[in-house]
Amino acid sequence: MQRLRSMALAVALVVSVAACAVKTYNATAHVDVAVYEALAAVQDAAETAHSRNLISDAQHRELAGQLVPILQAGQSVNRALQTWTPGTPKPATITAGLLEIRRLLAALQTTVPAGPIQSAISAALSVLGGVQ
Amino acid sequence: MNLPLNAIIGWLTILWEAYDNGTIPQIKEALLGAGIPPERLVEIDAAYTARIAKAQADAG
Repeated sequence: MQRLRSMALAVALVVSVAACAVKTYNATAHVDVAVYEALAAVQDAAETAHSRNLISDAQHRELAGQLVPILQAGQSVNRALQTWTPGTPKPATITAGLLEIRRLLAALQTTVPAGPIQSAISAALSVLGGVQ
Repeated sequence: MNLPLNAIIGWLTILWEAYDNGTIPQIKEALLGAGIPPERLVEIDAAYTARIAKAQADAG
C-alpha cells in the first residue's frame, strides 16, 4: 500500500512539472503571436502614414530600414519557439530576442513623429512590457 | 508520504468522470492555457519573411 501511495505521489509530481513546462510554452507562444501582430501593425501604420503623406519618402525609407532588424528579431524568436520542445528549458534566444525587439522599438519610438506610427509602437512596447 | 487511499481513489474517480463526459480538454485549457497550433507559428514565419522583404525593398 505504501508503495502505491509513493507511486501516486511520484506520478502527481511528474504531471505537475510537465504541466508547468507546457504552461510556460503556451504563454510564450501567445507572446510570440502578439509580438508578430504588434510589429505587423507598426509596419502597416508606417505604410498608411506614407500613403496619406503624413511622412515623407525619406522618412518612410528610414523607417523601413529601422524595421528590418526588428522584424528579423521577431522571426528569430518565432523560429526558436518552433524548435523548442515543451518540457525542456526555454531557449535563451527567445528572451534575448524579445528584449532586443523592445530595445529597438524604444529607440525607434523616439525618431517617429507623434501619431499612428508612434501609437502602434507604444502598443507593441506594451505587449513586450512583461518580458524579463 | 501518507496519502490516504480514499483521496487517491477520489481523484481518480473525478478524472475518470471528466474523461468520460468529455471535459478533459476544458480542464486542460483552464490549467495550461490554450495552445497555439504549430501551423500558426509556420504562418507567422512566412509572414515575417514577406514583411522583411517589403521593408528591405522600401528601405532601398
